[in-house]
Amino acid sequence: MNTFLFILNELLRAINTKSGGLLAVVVLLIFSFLALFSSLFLLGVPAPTHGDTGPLLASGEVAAHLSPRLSPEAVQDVYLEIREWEEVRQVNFLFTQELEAGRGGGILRIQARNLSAVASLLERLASIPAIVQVDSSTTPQKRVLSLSTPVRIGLLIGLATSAFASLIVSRRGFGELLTAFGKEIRLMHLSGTPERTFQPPIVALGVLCGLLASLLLIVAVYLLHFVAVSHPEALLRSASGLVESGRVLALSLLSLLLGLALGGLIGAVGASLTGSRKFQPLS
Amino acid sequence: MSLIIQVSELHFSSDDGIKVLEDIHLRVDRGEMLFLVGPAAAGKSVLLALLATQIPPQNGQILVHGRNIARLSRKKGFELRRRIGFLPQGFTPLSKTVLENVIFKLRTLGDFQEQAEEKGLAALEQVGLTAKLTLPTAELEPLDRVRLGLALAICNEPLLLLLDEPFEGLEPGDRTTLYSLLKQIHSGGFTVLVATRGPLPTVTEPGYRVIQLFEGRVKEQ
Repeated sequence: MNTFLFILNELLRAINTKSGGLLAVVVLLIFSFLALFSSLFLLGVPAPTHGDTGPLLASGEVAAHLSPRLSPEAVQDVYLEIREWEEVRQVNFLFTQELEAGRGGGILRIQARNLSAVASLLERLASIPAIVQVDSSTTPQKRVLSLSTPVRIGLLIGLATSAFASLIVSRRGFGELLTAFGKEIRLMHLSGTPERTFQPPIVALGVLCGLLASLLLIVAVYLLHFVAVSHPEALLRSASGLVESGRVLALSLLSLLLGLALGGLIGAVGASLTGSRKFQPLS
Repeated sequence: MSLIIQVSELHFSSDDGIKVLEDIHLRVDRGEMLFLVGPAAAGKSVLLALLATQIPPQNGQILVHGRNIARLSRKKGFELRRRIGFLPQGFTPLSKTVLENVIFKLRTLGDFQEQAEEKGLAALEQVGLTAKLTLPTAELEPLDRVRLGLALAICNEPLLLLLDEPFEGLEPGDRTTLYSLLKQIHSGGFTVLVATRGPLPTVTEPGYRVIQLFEGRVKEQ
C-alpha cells in the first residue's frame, strides 16, 4: 500500500457517526443534483410522436401499421420488400398485441437511413395497400415539448441549490472528519510531510462521494429505462428520453463525469481546510 | 566540530506586537547537547519552533544545517523539517497503539510498511518502549508518553533533535530517568537541544552546555 492509499485508509477509519452522517447527506445532495440534471435530458426532449396505440419512435423512425387481415405470408412479403429499399437501414416487426392486448395486425418499425430519407419513405409506404397507417417521429406538427419554461427554470434553480448545499454540507462534514483526524494532520505537519502528500487522499474521499452518487443515479436511470422499455404503456409521456436510443448511456457517462467533478470540487474544499490554523502543530 | 545551528540578530514579535525574542545569537555544534533554560514566557518555545521551521522568522538570520531557513522554498522547508526531530511541548500521541504511532509517521513520510516497522521498532527499542508496543497510548504513563514522543522524533534518523519541555509534568524520579535517556540518545550521535524551565537533574556534568534565556534575551551562556 503506497502513502496515498495508507492516508486514505487512515482517513476512512477516522470517519465517525457525525462526519459519516454529514458525508452521507453530501452523497444524497450530489445524487439530487445529478437527478435534476438528468431530468433536463430525460424530460426536456421533444417527445417522439406515436399513435394512441403505436410504438414510441425515435428520430428517423417510421411505424407502418399493417392491415389485420394480412396473412403471415403477405406480411413477410411486405417486410422483405421494404427491407430492400435504399432509404431503409433496418426493419423490425412488432406484434400490436405487444402494445395493446386484443388488437390484431402488426407494425413494421422502420429505421430510415438518414433523416432526409424519411419523407420519401413515408410516401412509398403510404402507396402500399397492405399498410393502413404510417407514423413518423419527424412529423413537425406532432412534436410536443414536454417541459414548460417555468419547470425548466425550477429545475435549474434546483440544480444550483443542490450544488451549493452539497458544498456547504461537505465543508461541515469534512470539518468534522478532519477534526477527528486533527492529531494525525498536526503530526504530519510537524514531521515535514508536504501538504501535496496528505491533501490528495482528502480530495479522493470527495471523489468517492461523487462516484457513489453517480452510481446510485445510473442504477436508478437504468431501472427506469428497463421499466419504460418493458412496459411502454406505463411510460410517462414526458419521460420519453428513457427509450431514445443511446440517450441513457450518454446520460450515465455524463452523470458519472459530473459526479466525479463535483466530488472532486467538494474534496478540494475539504483539503483546503488542512491549512487552517487549528491543524498547525504549534497553533 | 561543524556547526549545525547558527542564529544571529534574531528578533521575533507576537501578532499583537509583544517582543518575544530580542537579539538572539546562538551557535550549536554538531553532536552537542545543549539546554535552553528559562522561566515561562522567556521565548524558549518560540526559539525552538523557529529552529524547527515550524514558524517563519521575522528578523535576523537562522542557519540550520547551513541553510538559511528564511530563504528556503516550501519544498526545501519540508525537506529540512524531515531532518529535524521535534518534540513539542505538551505532546499528545495519536489514539493508536505505541507501534502504530511511529509507523504512521514513517508511512506518511514515504516508507513502506516493512521498512516503517523495522525503523519504528528500532526507535522504540532505543527509548525503552519495546515491552509496550501494542499498548494503546491512552494507557501510557507520563514518562512513557515522553518516551514515545522521543521515538517519534528520532525514528526517521534526524540530524538534530529539538525537545520542548520534555520534563514537564514528570515526577523527580522520572525526570532523572528521562535525563539519562537523553544522554543515551545524545551519545548515539544526535545533536540535542532541550528547552526547559529546569531545574536540571545533573546538569553540572561536563560536556553539556546550558543557556539561560530570560524575557526573550540570552542572559548567560
